[in-house]
Amino acid sequence: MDRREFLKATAASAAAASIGVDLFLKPSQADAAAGVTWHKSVCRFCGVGCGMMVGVKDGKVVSVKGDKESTVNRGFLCVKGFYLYKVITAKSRLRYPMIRKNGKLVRASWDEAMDLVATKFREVIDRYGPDAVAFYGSGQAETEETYIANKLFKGHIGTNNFEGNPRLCMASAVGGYLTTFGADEPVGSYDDLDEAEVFLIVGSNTAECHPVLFDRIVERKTKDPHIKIIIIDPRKTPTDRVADLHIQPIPGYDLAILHAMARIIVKEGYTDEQFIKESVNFSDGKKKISYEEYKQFLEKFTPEYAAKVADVNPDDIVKAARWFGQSPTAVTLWTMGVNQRTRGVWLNNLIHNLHLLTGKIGKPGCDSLSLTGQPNACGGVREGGGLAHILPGHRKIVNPQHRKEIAAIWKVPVSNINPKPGKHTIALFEAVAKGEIKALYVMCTNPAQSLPNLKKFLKGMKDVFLVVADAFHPTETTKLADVLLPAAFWSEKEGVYGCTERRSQYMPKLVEPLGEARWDGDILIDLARRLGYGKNFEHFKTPEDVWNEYLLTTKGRDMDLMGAPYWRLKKVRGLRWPVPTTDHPGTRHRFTEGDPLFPKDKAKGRRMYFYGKPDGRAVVFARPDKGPEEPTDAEYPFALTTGRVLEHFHTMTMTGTVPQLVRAVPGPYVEINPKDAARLGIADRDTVKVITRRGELELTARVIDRPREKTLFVPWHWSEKLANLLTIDAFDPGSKEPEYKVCAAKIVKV
Amino acid sequence: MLISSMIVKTRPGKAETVLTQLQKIPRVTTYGVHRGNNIIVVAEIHDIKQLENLTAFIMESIDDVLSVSPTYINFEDEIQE
Repeated sequence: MDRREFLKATAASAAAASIGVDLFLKPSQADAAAGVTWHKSVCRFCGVGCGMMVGVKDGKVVSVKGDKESTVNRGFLCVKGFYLYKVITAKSRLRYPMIRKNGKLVRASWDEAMDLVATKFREVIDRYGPDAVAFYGSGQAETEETYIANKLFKGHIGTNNFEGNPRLCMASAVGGYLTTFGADEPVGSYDDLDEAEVFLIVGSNTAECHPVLFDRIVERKTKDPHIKIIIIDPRKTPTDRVADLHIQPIPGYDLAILHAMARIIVKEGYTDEQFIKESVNFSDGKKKISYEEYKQFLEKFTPEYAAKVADVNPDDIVKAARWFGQSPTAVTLWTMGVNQRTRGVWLNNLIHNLHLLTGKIGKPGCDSLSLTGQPNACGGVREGGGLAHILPGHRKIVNPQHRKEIAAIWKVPVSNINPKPGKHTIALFEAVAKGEIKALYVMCTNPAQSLPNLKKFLKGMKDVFLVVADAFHPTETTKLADVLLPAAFWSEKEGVYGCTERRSQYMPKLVEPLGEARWDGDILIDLARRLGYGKNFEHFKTPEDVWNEYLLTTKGRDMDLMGAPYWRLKKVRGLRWPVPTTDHPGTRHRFTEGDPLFPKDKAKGRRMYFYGKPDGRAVVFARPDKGPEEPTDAEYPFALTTGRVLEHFHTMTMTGTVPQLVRAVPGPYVEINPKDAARLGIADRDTVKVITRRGELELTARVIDRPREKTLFVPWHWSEKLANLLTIDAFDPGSKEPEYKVCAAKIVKV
Repeated sequence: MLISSMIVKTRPGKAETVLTQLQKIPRVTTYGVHRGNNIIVVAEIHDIKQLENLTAFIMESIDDVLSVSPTYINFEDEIQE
């Protein structure tokens, strides 16, 4: 067998292993022959938390395979995960610090760059006060990194102007979980996907954005064709491949559909009355209401009413409600189509309503599971307290006891922590634009591309003293920076990620950072020292030291991770909190008997006790149905929606090696329904202009039956065509998450 | 040259038809149908973009494919280059 054949056999054997088949070589034989050592790690791309085995040879990452021991992905990956090796050595890696001199970014030493950052920050803090500086982090940073930054900014500098990009993608899910269940993050876990008999997928292109979980749904459907998959989404996506029913509402008008489903569930008797009696309260959002009053509230939401509001078929709503109601089990999944809305929290509540009314929560095959977009948005930011209103361990800044507890762990006077929450993301960048925030530290993210209504914020980002710690350059944000700090990337540092299903997983350091790059934690500790706060950071010699201190903030909390020290995380495929002791296996369903925090004495025989609520009852909300902030009108007759697509749609470069795969796919594009295109005389690949009240973009038309009529879809990946020049910066009043998913637009042929 | 493997999952009863289609793609080697509807596929590719395009092609252009799940990639040659 020559080398090529050997590698092919190794590849085939790895695929076989993922489905439990022995083929050719046993993995251990292949590894020994290839000289590759494999290390357990975690994929860095999305929030699924796929286990990944990383092959290292001669100090370099040379191969990657899915971790078949991982209960998350069972050996499968998606193409995005395969990109990681390329990213480590990418030409765009930032290899050394840079500072702006005479308008240009030039190479600098670490000392010079860090001195400049510390001097400027100190100058601003002393002259204008701590709230004149800010930090903007990321759901891609490790928990340890976010923890250090939190401790520095909130505990030592004394500002809560501390935000992160999860505000832009999942803050509404947080608001939904908190208001409904009294505690953030899902009740169930991925295990429920394998036992569900109905899947309700709302505003999520699971096939493209979370392909590994989609594969689990496919597997479930393949094993049992009677399983029903319902989609509510204005756009057809590859997820439709397995759908039994697709309800395509006008963007922004789906609240009425969920209420109408609830009404049918109640009217036709699919409710779990015992569960409702024991574990549910009803509320109109301001005050407690009775079950009867809730039923009265629902009366308005006939299928016909909801169908008219959303422009869908009323029979489809009835069908969806009956499938959901009649099935013994159901899982609902959603992402940005629900969260990135001015009523994202309400929409989250209405999804939870369906599960609470039917009792399809906290038992196998049942959950309302918010899918997350980033690998550590749940771990580092939601759990680690990486937003302007929270502290580590699911604590709130406004709670004096919470501040006291964290101040004790940080070894600072409690007065160091400002009792007032800082500015949420949009407010923070508005303050940057106004010049109120004068120095901004951005870590591991790219707000100059990802903020909505970008034009409003770009000048401010250019004018502020902007420090960017990133692994890559150029990005839209690094182009504006005054100081660039090269950060170590995946496999060049160790740390922990927490994924969608409350699972914390350890990632090892396998290779040395490229060039002069450093671990973000090390850079922040350096900054703390230069600002004069070194004493409280000097015990952080390794990421493990940081993790150990962070664990103390979780002790006794609903997200207790005391049973997950590094030594244990290195052995297992992650642990789902609460995991209070090192002999605890982790928790599949919260608020039930299997949850170590379940208060049997208070529950008194109830199946579930939502201990985040004073009386242990979750809340069904009678929320009004409300449309988007900027409805369509005669001048702007299209609803514009933006989103992700699988990488291949915008990197379609092909060589002639596989000729039948060559497809002329345009670069930045806008999807338009064929009926709209015909009406406007737009042909496929025509150049068109998409215009909103905030900006315009010239794009290639992709005439395709994916968006519903009167809807346009623009992927937001291309830096040369920033979709966020078009989007609206209106935000949910509760979660402060912007409404990326809907605004009014028009389209003209150029 | 990069070597990558994946599992192509098909609708029940359609694996053999899909297998025939996959076998027509250059530089793709199949390793049979397993556990009902799973086809083991190994692709030899020049760069990662080709892999993206290959998986997209399989998903979008071959009927009865339900999912394409990459499992392994070796890029030792590219690193050395």
